Amino acid sequence: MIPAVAGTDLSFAYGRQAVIENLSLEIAEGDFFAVIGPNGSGKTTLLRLILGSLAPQAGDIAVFGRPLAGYRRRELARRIALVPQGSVPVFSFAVEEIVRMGRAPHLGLLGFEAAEDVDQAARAIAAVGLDALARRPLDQLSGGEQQRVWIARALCQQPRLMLLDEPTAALDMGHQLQIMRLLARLRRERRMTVVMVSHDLNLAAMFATRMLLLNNGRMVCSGTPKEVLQPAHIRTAYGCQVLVDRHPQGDFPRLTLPVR
Amino acid sequence: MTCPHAHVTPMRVLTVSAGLSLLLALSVVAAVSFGSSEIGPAAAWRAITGGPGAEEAGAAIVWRLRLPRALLAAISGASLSLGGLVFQALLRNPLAEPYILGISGGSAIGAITGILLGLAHFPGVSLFAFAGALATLGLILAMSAGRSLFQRDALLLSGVMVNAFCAALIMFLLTLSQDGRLHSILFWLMGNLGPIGFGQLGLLAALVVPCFAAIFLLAHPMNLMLLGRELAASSGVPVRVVTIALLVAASLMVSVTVSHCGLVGFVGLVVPHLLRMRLGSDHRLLVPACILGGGAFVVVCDLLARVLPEQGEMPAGVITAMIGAPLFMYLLRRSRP
Repeated sequence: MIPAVAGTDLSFAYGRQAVIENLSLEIAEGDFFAVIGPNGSGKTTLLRLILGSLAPQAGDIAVFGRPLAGYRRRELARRIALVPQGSVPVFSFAVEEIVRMGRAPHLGLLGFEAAEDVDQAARAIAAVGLDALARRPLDQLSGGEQQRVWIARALCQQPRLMLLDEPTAALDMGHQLQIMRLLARLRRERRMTVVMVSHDLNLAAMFATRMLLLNNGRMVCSGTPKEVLQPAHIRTAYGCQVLVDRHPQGDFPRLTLPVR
Repeated sequence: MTCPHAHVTPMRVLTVSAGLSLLLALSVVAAVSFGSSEIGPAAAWRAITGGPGAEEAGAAIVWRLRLPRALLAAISGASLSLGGLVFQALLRNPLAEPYILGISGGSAIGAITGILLGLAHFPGVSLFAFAGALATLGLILAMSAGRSLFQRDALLLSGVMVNAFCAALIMFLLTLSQDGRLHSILFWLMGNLGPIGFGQLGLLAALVVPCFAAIFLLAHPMNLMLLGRELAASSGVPVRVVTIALLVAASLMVSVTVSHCGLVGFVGLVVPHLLRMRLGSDHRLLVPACILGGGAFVVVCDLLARVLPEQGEMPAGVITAMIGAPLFMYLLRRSRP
């Protein structure tokens, strides 16, 4: 099967500061793929390399079997959608206006939506459960609701691959769980590949099918959460000792910080 | 707060445009009708429809003075408002405006240099004004870029400084030259919609109307870029190309406008904000609305500038600044946490 993302020997540097070094990875279609690692380990840069907003200085990256350079911009936008870290635009837009903007790569010259595009947007809003708030301005919504708006906007692009940059970073526990369940459901229902940068290892362990642990732009380990979340790997990357046991309700690892 | 976020369709754009066109037409008729010699709407209308050769009393005033002046006001208002809208979207800053950013000032320096060199208005002075606009634009972008790209305060501060520098440079140039046209240039600086012929109006329109069209074509990408440059790029917008096209189009139309009507300030702040309150933030609607509504706004401001003083007239920029500067302070205050 053709992988959703295949990167070989990727390297990227901002100026002389190497951020990604000799990284190879493969993300199978349908994976819920978590990229983890300490601050400055190159997670977001990797996301940008997959998105095509940065080009690697060395190595090749292919998406759905075709090199990124072989895509036209709009064509790529119909396959990959980004969920940003979440910010509120300076001018007020309603939820449905923002979600409809996800139709951009499907629209004609003047950028007006056809009936089908409006339909798609309504379905995306329904999929994240925001029907009741569709006409409200984004800035009046809570952080969790706003994050769902950005997910709906990305869904509206009808991508096969969704990239998320720390989607739960600014949210409380309840909303974190809600967003992760939503992503898991969308992935299942739409057979979508989800790639997520995350700082919350326990949350990622519960939902991800595969993980990549980065440190200083290099891969420390890649595999299932069980394979990656081992004390030795965590110590290498994060420089701290953790206790790993099993989640009481399922077969995934649980990390606990030691007292001493 | 209720938001006017009805879905933007081609039909809604046409309806809003038709309404604002009517407003613009009414304001032009009013501008032609009133002034130091009363003509009245009915006679003004007859003079306009009768053509430039009409024998009606006042036809000469209408055709030589008031109608060209009203049309210049409309074109200036349209391009200054649209300029404000474009800079606000590109810089993601509600306080961005050609005058506040110093781009109008840069155009003015270019234009004055051209005038003092004795160049013809077109293409000489206009080209100098365009060069001045691009130079100031480059300067403020370079000053505010770097670590905190396009950050609000950095940008405004750069604009204020560029503006102050431009004002000083203008006075410097004027004082050095000891030119007999000093008074008229000073008057022009405050935004004077002086006499203009139909030939020059035609040239002006030929330069700004393609800019309007280009910006309208880029209205939807402007919406997306308000959400963030990376997000826009990931939605298929060629962000760099769109940014450059918008900057060039906006600078071109603002600079040729300034070279004709001087520094009519704050139009690009007042009009887009008023329209956004009524129509929402979608640029597919705001671009045509700014062109038509901005035109009407400056036509009315210029009319007030002509009829308010007992004798003579004041520059239109006085009126727009008296409305715009308080609005700027209000927006600045509201935008602080």
